[in-house]
Formats: sequence, structure tokens, C-alpha cells
Amino acid sequence: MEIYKLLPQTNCKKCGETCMGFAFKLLSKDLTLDKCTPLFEEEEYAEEKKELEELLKPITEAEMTETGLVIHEELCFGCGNCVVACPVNVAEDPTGCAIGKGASSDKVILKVENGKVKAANIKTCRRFGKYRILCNACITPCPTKAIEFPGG
Amino acid sequence: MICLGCSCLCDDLDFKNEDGKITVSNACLKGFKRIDSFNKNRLIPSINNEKKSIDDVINKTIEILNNSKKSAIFGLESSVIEAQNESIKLGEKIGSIIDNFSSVHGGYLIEKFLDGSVKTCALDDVRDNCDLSIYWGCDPMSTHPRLMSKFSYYPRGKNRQRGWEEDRNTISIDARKSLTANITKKFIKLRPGSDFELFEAFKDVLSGKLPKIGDKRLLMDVGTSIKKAKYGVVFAGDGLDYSRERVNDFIDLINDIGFKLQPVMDSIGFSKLLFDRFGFINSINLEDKSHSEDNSIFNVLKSDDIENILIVESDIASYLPYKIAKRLKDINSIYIGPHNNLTAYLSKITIPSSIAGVESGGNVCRMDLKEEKAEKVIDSDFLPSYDILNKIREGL
Repeated sequence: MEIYKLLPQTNCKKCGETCMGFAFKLLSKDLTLDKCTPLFEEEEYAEEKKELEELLKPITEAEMTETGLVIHEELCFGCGNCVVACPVNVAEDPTGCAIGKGASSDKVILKVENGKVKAANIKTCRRFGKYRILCNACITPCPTKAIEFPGG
Repeated sequence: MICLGCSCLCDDLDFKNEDGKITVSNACLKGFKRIDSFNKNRLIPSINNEKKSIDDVINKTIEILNNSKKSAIFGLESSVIEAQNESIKLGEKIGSIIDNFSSVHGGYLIEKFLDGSVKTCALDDVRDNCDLSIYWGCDPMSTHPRLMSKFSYYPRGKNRQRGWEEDRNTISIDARKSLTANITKKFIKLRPGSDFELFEAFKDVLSGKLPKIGDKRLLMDVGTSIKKAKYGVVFAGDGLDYSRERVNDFIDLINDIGFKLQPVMDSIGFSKLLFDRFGFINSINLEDKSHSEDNSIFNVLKSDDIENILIVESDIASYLPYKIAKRLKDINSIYIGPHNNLTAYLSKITIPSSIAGVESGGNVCRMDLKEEKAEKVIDSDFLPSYDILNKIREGL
């Protein structure tokens, strides 16, 4: 909704979508902001354009996995709290991550490598798939807020 | 491999070296950068900023030590036990002062931790049993990044199967909202130096009275958690420096509530070694085995009669006030260490050594006094610090 509020809201369909549809496509990285031509051509939207670019920065710049997990590498210092707290990691690696050690299985989602956390096997995350839930086990223990799901 | 980045000594690191490009899994950024620094910013052997050979600098050191009446040895908090033993032998031979970082920060707490006046615990027991951890004046997320994820809060333990969400509680007590306070369940903010007011408030709460200061509801809440806790641990750090004269009250409080103490500091291993040998943890004159405040690094550098100081693997100049640190330039200061830093910059003689735990092995001591064996993972031409100290001792 925050993205939608900043769009022109004229439903001109130059991008092939309504403004609400375009907002969702921006979030899922299917479309980029430059597809909204009025925003770039008409001066009255200059302020909104600037705010939108600021808002979408984490999505466009950070390393984003196909399912929406964003890791800000510049903030991460590899404490491994998320690795140990993630319930999928615990289930997949009961003798490693579950008892505080580093990941020893290939099936884990989060793993620390060269001092930064890296995501893999993202399809097994509890936030995705048929029975998804709003799990925040990796976000809460991060002291620097280096992990986020911009999609909510 | 074992990481010597801090006193957590994480033993689950996975090290790969492919044509000089290294990959380290499971290490935090602090540990990784220490391992990755094997080809960056290395120290070169020098006398008065002039490049010399390693034998020249060792011979010059021997000459200086032979001709000096009063010398001091400092550092070794990030060295292996072999180097610490060598430095004691060298100190005994020349009758020098020996001191370590605990005289700058937290020595009063490490002394109480070692002399048995408070209950202590192994970190593995903390993982299996701890249900309430209090971080008092320390920020392990900044200083010991994997302490909470490996031992104290996030892992599932033998008797704490439901992990951090249900089985464990955490409280952070600090002067500012630190990184640790961002993730603990409760946070009590204190003015620096007002810890004793909180000791009194906790005593009131635990004896069923209303506290006189602070957020009464929060303190009552914390008091209830303390009463309920079955296995509580207080992790204490440098923040207590401001209340060091009330340290006995702090120890009494921990004993009263039946908790265990774990200082979150480095230099505990070397302090233990000195404590076992001489009965004191720092500031020891090895000539007559006596301890005095005048022998601490701060007072030694302030005094006029010190002629030379041998600093081993410790960037002490970064921690001292500029006026005191500047004194390193006036006396014969010798620095043994793997990397360039402010102490090396101020020292007259620099002797490069290998990185302990990366380019040379040895025994090391974790913060809960458990000994581990570090292994060599990268080949290098640099001598380990214990070999350098041994060469100096034999040359005297």
C-alpha cells in the first residue's frame, strides 16, 4: 500500500497494469519502476519518484532470493543467531545448528560463510509453499536488522 | 579448526584453501577477518623504522634487555599458552615486571572469578541448562559475536529443548541500548557508575519490598524472573569498571540470588596462568614475585625509571590515553606481533610473528577456563611468538 500511495494512481495502464497491480509487480520484482512513464516524464511526480526510489532501494540493491528473503550483507557480522534460531535449520541439522554449532548439513536455509550469512534451499522456508505461516524466527534475533522480508 | 578471534574459541569452523583464496564457514566476521589477514598489513622487522633482518632485531632486543635495569613484559592475551609460559620464563630470567590487559579492564572481576568467591560454570553447561542469562555491562554481540548463538541463548540444550522462544529468558543491563540489548527480552538502562543503586534495588525486590529507584514495574518483573530461574548466569563485562570499588557488593548479590558468574572478557587464560603460579593475576614483579598497583602498564609507563618494555601480541596503545601511550616512543619499546597497529607504530623495535591459531598451533584457554588445542592451517615463514621469546631468552 505504501508503494501504491506514491504511484500516480491514474490507472493509465501504460505499464500494462493498474496502479495497484503495478505496485505488487514492483514488490515481486516482475516489473521495474521505469515502466511507469508518467512518473518519469511529468514533473508533478518528481517528489513521489524520489520517495519511491528510496522505498524500493532494499529490493533493488540487496541480494534478494527468489522467494523474497533479503540479506543486507553490509549490516551482517555473522553472529549466527539466525542460523541457530531458524526452525527449518534445527529440523534439518539436529546435531549442528540445533545445538549452537555451525551448519553441518547441505539442507539448511541459512549458513554463515566468510563472516556473512548466506541463504540457500529457500523453497523449504516456512514462509513459502502451500502451508506457509508468517514465521519471523530469523528476523527477531538479528541485532542489526540485516535480514528482512520486504514483501511483509 | 579453532578460531582465536575472541575467547569463545569456536571449534566448528570449516576451513578451505584453494590456491591462496580461503573460505571459512561458520566463523563470525571478527574471526574470519583474523584468519583472512594472513596476507594483509603484516609487520616487518625494523629498528627505528629501518627495515632489518629478523636475526638483527632479535639480537638488538637481546642487547637492550642485557643492558637494562628495569624492564616490563606486557600483553599475551591473544597468545597461546606456550608463548605465555615462555614470557614468564623470560621475565624470571631478567627480573622484569609482567602485566596483562586485565590491569586495564576487568581485572577485579577476573580475580573474583578465579579465587573461588563466586560460583562459575562451563559454557557447555550453560547451553544445556541456562534458563536466565543477565548481560551486565557487556555487549557480547560486539565483542564475542557467537556467545549467544553458540552457548547462552539461542541453542537447544539437553534440558532446554524448546530453545530461546520458551525455555530461556534474557536481560541486558547497560548504559546504552547496545546490539545485545536489541535482542534480549528485557533491557534496564543505567547511568554509568550507578550499578550499586541497582544492587540495592534488586535486594529490595528480592526481599519483597518495592524498589526505590528506576522503573518499578520492570524491576519487579525482573526480580520475579530471577526468583523463578533454576540455572541463572550473570555475564559481566567492562561496564562494571565504573563501579569497581563496589565489586564485593556485586559478588554478594550474585551469591545471594544463587547465580553463576562468567566475565565476558579476553585475557582470562593468561590471568589464570599467573594466578596459579604467583597468586596474582596481573602487575607482578617477577624479581621478588610481589604484586603492586605500581606495576600495572598505566603506572609503569607513567613512571620515569622504566627503561624498556616488551609488548607481545597486544595493541595496548589503542586503549591508553594519548599522553601515556606516547611514552612508548621515549623508552626502548619492543613489539612482537603479526600485524601493524598503533603499538607497532610507536615501538622502536618490531618483530613479526605468525598468527596464532592460523600459521602456528598451540594450546589455548577459553573464557570458562576450558583448554583447547589450536592447529596450524596455513604455512608461513614467520616464527611463532613462543619461538621468538625462546630465542631472546637463550641469547641473554
